[in-house]
Amino acid sequence: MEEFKFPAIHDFPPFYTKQVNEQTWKSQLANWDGLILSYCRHYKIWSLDTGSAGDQELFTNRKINRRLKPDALKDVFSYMVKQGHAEWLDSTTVLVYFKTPQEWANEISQWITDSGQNGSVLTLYELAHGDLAANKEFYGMHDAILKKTLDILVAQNKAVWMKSNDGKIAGVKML
Amino acid sequence: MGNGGSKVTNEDKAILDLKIQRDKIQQYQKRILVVLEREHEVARECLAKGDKRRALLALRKRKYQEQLLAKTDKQLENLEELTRNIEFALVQKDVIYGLQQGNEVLKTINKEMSLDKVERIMDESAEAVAYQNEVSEMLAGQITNSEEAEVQEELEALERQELEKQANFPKVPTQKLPEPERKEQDEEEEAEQHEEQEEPATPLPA
Repeated sequence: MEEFKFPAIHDFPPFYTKQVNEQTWKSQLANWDGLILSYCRHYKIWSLDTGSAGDQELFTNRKINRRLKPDALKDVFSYMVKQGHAEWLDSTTVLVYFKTPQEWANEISQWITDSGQNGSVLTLYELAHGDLAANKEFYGMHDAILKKTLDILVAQNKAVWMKSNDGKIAGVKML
Repeated sequence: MGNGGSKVTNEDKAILDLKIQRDKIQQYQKRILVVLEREHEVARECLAKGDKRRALLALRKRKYQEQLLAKTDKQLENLEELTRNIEFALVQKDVIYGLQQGNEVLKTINKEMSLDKVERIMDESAEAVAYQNEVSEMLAGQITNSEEAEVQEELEALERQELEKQANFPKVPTQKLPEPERKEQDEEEEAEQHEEQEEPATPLPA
């Protein structure tokens, strides 16, 4: 996989410090938002944890010996959630929406039609990890994001939830 | 889910179960592949340290994992074949249902086309043809009437031509009047009168 190219601001030391000026801080948040989305899209990172994310090259720049502190990281995640680019999965983890569930729903729906799978029964695993999906952008999708995406398709009457014998949601039938 | 249940059949659930088993086997295979790689690394590291016994042990474990992988390959193949067979059987079921529906429609249409009805239609058609022929004959009779009318018109035309001939005579004497003298004029006038007397005699024989 090709290495992600960081923008120049990633090497700018103040970028890793929460700025006192209100306008500057907002601008900084927007820059982090854009950077995180690009980075996660590039490496197919579906979720970020406030505990471990800080250690990633995304938030730690060893060249300039700078890293984003956990408090600031949480503020950035909160900003992303407000923008609709992320969603809290639990108190420390966010799902990253470099595409929104609605966009994913449209993409999966189109793929189902293009590959002639209307009327088919598909497992959750198959949708995110199956051979037919291997060349698709949603390949490897996080289970939680996949469920939110399929909820949209079900609401649009394009799919119906199916349960396995133990009563758990296990797949969908595409209509 | 209650509403959705009506769209999900028992066959769908059977396919889902088979696919879940397939997914589990695929995930298990991925884990085995990771173990295979790891054991291979361990063997290489042990050889580097000169520990041939441990290297051999790692390779034996690797061989065992490979055998497990081969078994799961077989199981996966069986599951996928069974899934495909069920899916194809469902397609066949749809085809048979389609043919059955087609047959029902054909029967319904045939019922509406009973032989008695066909005979009745043919009889009505024959009657209509006969009626048409009679109409044609009647129209032919009318043609004779029109021919008589034409004959009458020709007769009238001939009569008009004869009347036109009578009209031609009076024109000539009007031109002669101004030319002669008084005495000569009187003589000529008398001559004209004689001619006029003779003229009405000619149409009488006609």
